[in-house]
Amino acid sequence: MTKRRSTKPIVRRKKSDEDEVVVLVSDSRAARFLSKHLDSDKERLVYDETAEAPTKSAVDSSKQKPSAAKPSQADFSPAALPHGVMQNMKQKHAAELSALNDQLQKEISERRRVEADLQFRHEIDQIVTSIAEQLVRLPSTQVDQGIHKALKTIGEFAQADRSYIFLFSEDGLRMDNTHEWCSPHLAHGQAVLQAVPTVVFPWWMERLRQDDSIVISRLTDLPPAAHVERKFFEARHCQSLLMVPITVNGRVIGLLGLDAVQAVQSWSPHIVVMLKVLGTIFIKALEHKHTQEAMQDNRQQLRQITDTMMDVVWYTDAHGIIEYISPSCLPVLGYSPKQLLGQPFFGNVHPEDTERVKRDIKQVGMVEYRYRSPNGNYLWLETLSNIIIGEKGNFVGVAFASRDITDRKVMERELVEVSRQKNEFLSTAAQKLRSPLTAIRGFSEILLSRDYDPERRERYLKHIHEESVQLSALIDDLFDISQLEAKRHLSIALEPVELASLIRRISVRVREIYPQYRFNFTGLAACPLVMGDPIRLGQLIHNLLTHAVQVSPDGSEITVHVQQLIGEIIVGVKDCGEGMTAEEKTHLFDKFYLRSSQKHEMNPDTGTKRETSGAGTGLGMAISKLIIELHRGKIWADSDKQQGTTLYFTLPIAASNALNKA
Amino acid sequence: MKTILVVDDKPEVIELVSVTLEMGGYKILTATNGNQALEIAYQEHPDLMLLDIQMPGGSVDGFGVCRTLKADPVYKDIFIILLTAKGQSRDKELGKEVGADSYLVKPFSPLRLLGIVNEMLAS
Repeated sequence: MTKRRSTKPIVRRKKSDEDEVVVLVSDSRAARFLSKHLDSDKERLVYDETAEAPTKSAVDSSKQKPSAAKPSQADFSPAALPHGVMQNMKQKHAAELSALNDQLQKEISERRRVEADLQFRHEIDQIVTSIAEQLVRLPSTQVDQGIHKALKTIGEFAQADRSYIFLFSEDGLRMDNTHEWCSPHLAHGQAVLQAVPTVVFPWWMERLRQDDSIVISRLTDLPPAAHVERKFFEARHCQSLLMVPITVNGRVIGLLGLDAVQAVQSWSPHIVVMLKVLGTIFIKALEHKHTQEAMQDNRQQLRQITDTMMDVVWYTDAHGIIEYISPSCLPVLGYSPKQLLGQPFFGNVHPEDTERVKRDIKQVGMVEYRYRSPNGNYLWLETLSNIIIGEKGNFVGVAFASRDITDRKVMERELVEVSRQKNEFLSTAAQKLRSPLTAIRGFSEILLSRDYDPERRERYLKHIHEESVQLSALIDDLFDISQLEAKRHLSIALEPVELASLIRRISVRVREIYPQYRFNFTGLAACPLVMGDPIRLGQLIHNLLTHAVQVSPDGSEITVHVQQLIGEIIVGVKDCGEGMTAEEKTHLFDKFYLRSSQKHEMNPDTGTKRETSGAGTGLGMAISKLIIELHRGKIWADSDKQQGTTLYFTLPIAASNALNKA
Repeated sequence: MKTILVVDDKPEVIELVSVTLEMGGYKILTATNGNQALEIAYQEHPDLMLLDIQMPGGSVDGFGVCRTLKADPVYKDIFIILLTAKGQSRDKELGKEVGADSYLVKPFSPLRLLGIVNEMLAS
C-alpha cells in the first residue's frame, strides 16, 4: 500500500587481507545471533550500524536468483557463501538459521506493519487537519462546496467510490442526502435520496441510534434483519460500505458514509475513526453556516425594515448631540445622516417649538413640532422619545423615533378651516334668518297690540309679507347650498340641454318681475346643446340675470352673449351697473356677500317694486358657482368701472349635438 | 320729551322700532350707519340709543359707536341698547366690554323693548 524504506538487517561478507571472511552486520540483534554461529577461525563479525544497504536492484536481482532451499534468504544463499563455510554451517546450524530467519521475517513484517500503520494514521491526521482548517476558513456561502471537496478527498483516500452525508429531519422520520461525492464512473444518487422515510430502514436506523458504526465488507455479511437495507445497498451497487453516525450533544442527527463499488474494501478502523471525527467537523461547519445565514437574514430584514421605514430613528448623547440617525432621514427630513451626525438635535427645530419640545421629551415622551428642512420649509414631525439611562443610573442620552406628519397637519388644518367655515355659515345663516323674522314678529305683535288705521295696517302687513318672502327665499337658498355642497364631490347626471331656449324662457320669467329691463341676445341661434342638469342650469341663469338687473339702473339693457369654443361654450351676461371694486370682485362668489349696489334695492322707495328672490339673500352667486363647478365649467367676472360687469361661465358641449332633448 | 336715536341699516327695523317707541311718547331720531349715528348723537345728545351692530354702510359698526360714546365724558350718560341678529355669547361679552347698557337679540318683542326703554329712562 505505502512505499517504505527496507529495514532488513544488512549482512555482508567480504574477504579481509588476512584471508578471513569479515561479516558486516547492521542490526545489533542479528549481530548477537550470528556471533554464536560463525566459524570463529575463518569468519570475523563486524557490527556496523551504518552499513550501507544493498541497492534496490541488487536486492531485486538476488530475490530473482533461483534457489532450491530458501529462495527468500538471498544473502545466505549457498552461492553467496564460500564453499567451506557453507558446508560447515549447513550441518551445524541449518535449523537455527531457519528459525532465526523466520523470526527476523516476523519481526520485520510486524515492524513494517506498525510503521505502515503509523504512516497511515499520520496521513489521516493530515487529511483531517487540512479539511478542518479549510472548512473553518470558508465563508458560509462556500461551506457546502468545501464539504463536497472534503468528501472527494476522503473518498479517494479510502479507495471508496462514493462518500456522502445524510441528515435526519428534526423528528427523525426522514433523512436527506445533503452532500455526495462519486467517482467519475458512478451516477449521482443524491437528487432522489431526499426526504427518505427512515422507517423503511429499521436495522440501519437502529444501529445508528445506538451510535454504532456500520462496517460491511461484503453485503453478504449483513444480517437477515437487514434485508431491506441490503436491497437498497445492492441497488446502489455497493460491494462494501462504511457508515458512522454524526452526533451532536449525544443525539444522532445524521451519518457520514463510504461505498465501495468497484472492489471489495475491508475498512480500516482508522478510517472509521477518521469518519467520526470528520462527521463532527462537517456538522460544526454546517451549523456555523446556518447561524451565519440566519444572521445574514436577520441583518437583511433589519436593513429592509430600516431602509423602507419612513420613521427616522435617532439617538443623542447627554448633551443632545446626534450620535446615530437612520438612513431614512434623507427621504424624510431631507438631510443625509452625514449632515446630521454630530449636530445638535434641536438645530432644526422651529425656535417657537424648542422649549415645548424639550419639556415634552422629558415629561410626555411624545411631541409634535416643526422641523426645518434644507429648503427652509418646515415639516411637522411627530417624535416619540425615550430617555436612555446608563447602568449607573446616569443620563446617557435620548432615543427618538420621528415621523413626518405634515400631510396630517395640513389635513387637520383644512378640517379646522372647513369646520370654521361651516360654523361661520351657520352663524351667518341664523343671523340672516333672524332679520326677516324681526319684522314679521315685530309688526305682527304691534298689529295685535292695538288698532291701526287701514293705511298703516296694510303697510305693516306688506312688511310682514315681504319679509316672509325673503325668509322663504333664504330657506330655499340655504337648502340649495347644502345640497350642492354635498354633491360637490359627486358627479351629477348630465344630459344634453338646449341652453338657448333655456336662456329665453328664464329671461321671460325675470322680465315678469323686472319689466323695466330689456334683454338682448347674441349668438343664441348658433348655441349648441350643452351637457348639464336643466333645472340647475335654469337656476344659474336666473341668478345671473337677476344679479344683472339688480345692479343696473332702471331701463337698462342686459346683454346675453353665447359663443362656441372648442368643446365648450362661453356665456357672458353683461349688466349696466357701476362695475365692481377689487374687493367686490374678490368676494363676489362668497356666501352671503351682497354688493352695495344690490343692497340699494332694499331701500323702501324702490324695494316695493322689486320682489326679492335668491339674489337678495347674498347666496345667489355662491349657488351659481357651485352649479358651474358641478358641471365642470368655470365662472368669473370681468368688470370695468365705466362698462359695468360681465359675468362669464363656460359649459361643456354635448358630444352629439344632433341629439334632441328626449 | 325724551329723545331716542334708532340706528339700523334695515328700513323695516327702523320703522318697527320707531312705531313701537312712539307709543311710549318718545321723540325718535334715526340713522342707517355708524358714522351718521355718531354725528346725530353729538348734535342731538339723545337720552337713549338703539344700536344695530352690523351696519355695512359706514366705517364704524355698532360696537365702535358704543365704545366711542361711552368713552366720552360728555356722552357716556346716553343709555345704549345693542340690537343685533348676532346671538353668540362672544358678541354679548363684547357688548358689555364696550359699555352697552343692554343687549337685545333679533327677533325681539317690540312691547318688551318698550318696557326696557321705559324702565331705563324712568330711573
